[in-house]
Amino acid sequence: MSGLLGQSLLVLRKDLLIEWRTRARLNALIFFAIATLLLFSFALGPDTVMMRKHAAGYLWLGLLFSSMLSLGESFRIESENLAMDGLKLIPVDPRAIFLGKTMGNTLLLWLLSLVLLPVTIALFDVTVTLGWPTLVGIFLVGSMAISAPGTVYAAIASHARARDVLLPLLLFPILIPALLAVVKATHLVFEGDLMDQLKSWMRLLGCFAIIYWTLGFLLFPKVLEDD
Amino acid sequence: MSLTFHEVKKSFDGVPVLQGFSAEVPLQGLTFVVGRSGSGKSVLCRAAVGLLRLDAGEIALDGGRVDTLPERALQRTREQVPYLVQSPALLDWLTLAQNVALPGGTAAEVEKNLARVGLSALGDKRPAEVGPGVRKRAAIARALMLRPRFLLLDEPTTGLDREAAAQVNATLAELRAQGLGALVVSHDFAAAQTFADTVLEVHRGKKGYHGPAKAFRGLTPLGVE
Ligand SMILES: Nc1ncnc2c1ncn2[C@@H]1O[C@H](COP(=O)(O)OP(=O)(O)OP(=O)(O)O)[C@@H](O)[C@H]1O
Ligand SMILES: [Mg+2]
Repeated sequence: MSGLLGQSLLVLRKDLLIEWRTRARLNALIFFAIATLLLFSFALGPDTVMMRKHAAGYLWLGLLFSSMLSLGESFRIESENLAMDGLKLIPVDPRAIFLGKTMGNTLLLWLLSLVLLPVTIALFDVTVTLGWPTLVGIFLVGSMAISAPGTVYAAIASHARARDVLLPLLLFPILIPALLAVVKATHLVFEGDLMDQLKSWMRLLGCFAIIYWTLGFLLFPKVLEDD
Repeated sequence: MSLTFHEVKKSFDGVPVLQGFSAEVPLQGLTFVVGRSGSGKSVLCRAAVGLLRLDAGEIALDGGRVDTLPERALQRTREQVPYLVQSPALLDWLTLAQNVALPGGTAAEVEKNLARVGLSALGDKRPAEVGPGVRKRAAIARALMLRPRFLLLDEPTTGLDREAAAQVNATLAELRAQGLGALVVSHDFAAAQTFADTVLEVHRGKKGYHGPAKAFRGLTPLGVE
């Protein structure tokens, strides 16, 4: 099929369409994420200063937990409309399968972060000091950073019997730098960036995303072998 | 010019399926592969295009090993020898013509290949609007876009009514007449006798009957080695 990008978009479109057809799952994911945030806020008690201080961390932990569910699903939905084998047999370039799936997971996570934002603001009483565009941008880069290693490891874990346990075990340690950077960056947008630290955290997050998108792109053909 | 299997072995969870299967399938003509349910016919096809790895043995296309190729090189194999799985392999939000165009190629080629499978009039229908036989033929047309040397078809007529099955078989015979051969996994012995040149039997993980379709008299009884 014509062109890596065309193939990637085909995979993306297929996944988004399946996601849309199984909206109930999407809703469940959103409710799970909101429930996580609610639990964090209950656990903290009525200490508003504390809440505000940790809001960014809880927001991203909520997103991270939800992403475990959605990433795991992204290789299980391969049942209707061309399963993984169907894609390989067209034949679609395995690297395009990586790009398409990672783009899909990024979009899903980004959407989820945008849904969780008002909830976070309401629950934790934060203000968006540095402006919305910055925040939405950080959410996008953060979603990209989680999605690339997430897609690779979801593909690896999908072969295993204990995949639901395996995915977070594999993924969490790797995501620590990205999580740290995105939580700091989000925190700075909430609380204000007096010491001009935002740039360096964003640089770290950006590098992480670029490295894992590149690694995933190069290594994914190996991951797909002997399915 | 052939697809050769040499001492192919494959087990799943310790249960042997193929136990030293060897056969040479010419790339011309129609070879029907028969065997009991679960004998490993689909496993053979999947291994031939690298969808699964062998435990032992070799598979070669024109003398070049395919069973050891890395995933990216397998793309080329899957273009030369497309494998059509039994389940529908069309995207349901695209028309038949758009599905056929997925591997790339010009509109004229799409036209031509739809015509080759007798679907010129149905190009702008969606998969849900046509029967399974038409969907199967559209999948064949899509494979033709790859300019293949040979086709692997897994039970192309299973589950079709008699008329649809006859049309699929006629399409295969037509392609064969145009010089494109195929390996066809089938349970339809009558079709094998009518359309096939050769019958290849998978029996107890090895090659059973392998010879002219006219002389094929049914599956080897289970007790016989
Ligand atoms: N991925 C797999 N994991 C575990 N077992 C498998 C796998 N693929 C095939 N098998 C087993 O291998 C055996 C052969 O399967 P295969 O699908 O090749 O049979 P077949 O000859 O195509 O049968 P049918 O005529 O029913 O299609 C079956 O017992 C099946 O359960
Ligand atoms: Mg089969």
